[in-house]
Amino acid sequence: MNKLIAVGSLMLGFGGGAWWNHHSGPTDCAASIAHVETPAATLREPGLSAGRVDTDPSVLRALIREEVAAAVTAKVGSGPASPTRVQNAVSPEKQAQRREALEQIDALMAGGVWGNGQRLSFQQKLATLDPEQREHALLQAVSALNSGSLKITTDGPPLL
Amino acid sequence: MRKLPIFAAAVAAIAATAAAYAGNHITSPVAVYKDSGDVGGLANGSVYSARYYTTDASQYIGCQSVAYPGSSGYVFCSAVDAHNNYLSCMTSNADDTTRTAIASVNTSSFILFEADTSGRCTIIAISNYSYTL
Repeated sequence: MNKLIAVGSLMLGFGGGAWWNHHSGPTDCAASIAHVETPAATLREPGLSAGRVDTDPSVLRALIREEVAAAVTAKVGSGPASPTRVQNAVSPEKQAQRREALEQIDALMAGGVWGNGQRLSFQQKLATLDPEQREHALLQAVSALNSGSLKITTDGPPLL
Repeated sequence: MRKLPIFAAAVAAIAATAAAYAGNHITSPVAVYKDSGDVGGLANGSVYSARYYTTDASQYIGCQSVAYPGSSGYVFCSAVDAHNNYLSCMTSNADDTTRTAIASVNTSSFILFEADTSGRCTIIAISNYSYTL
């Protein structure tokens, strides 16, 4: 019964959209460009009267299927115990390792000099971090190197 | 009489050498546009010019793509000009276009990149033209 209501609502929505699309006509706005890949649910043939719109049932069915599938995926994905979240769990040992790496990176940044040794150490610490921490550490290094708060003495680029 | 073929070969070699350096040429040493102490700025220059058309021992320009398999990756560009001015930028969300561009860097490449005030790359442009050689 719920499905029937949902599908009926969608049909009404698409029917209304098709009617509005027909009556409002084409526009040059960005929104119309964004939907350029959406299959056309209405077919206009030359010679037909201005008020008539033919709806392709197969296209309409495809759109409804897409909408229902998207709604189901969104509902499943928002569950509290999704597999992705379980995989992202980090052990306390790993967390401690990352914390230590971040502290050592802070110490490297505070050292004022960036030579080959610092570069190697930094790269080793980066490898233990998660992507978000890694990006933060890299930006921290880039900022310090660009501003000159770290004096570069490496052979070649400071971040290999 | 025996010297004639040697002379002819030498003339031909010189002619060939001259022909190899024909065509349009633009020297593009590395330039860093950044105020002292700033994080953001812009750098550009040609790989070949930095290496072969300069007399200092400091300038370079280049980009690298670093991957942490199964986790993430980043793209990093850096440059130093003849006056030892340094600029770099990084991005951790490089798209395929950016990665393909960086993979295309070679001796004819002219590289331009811009860093915003946080050090993130806002532009990475790679041009591969004969005139840089």
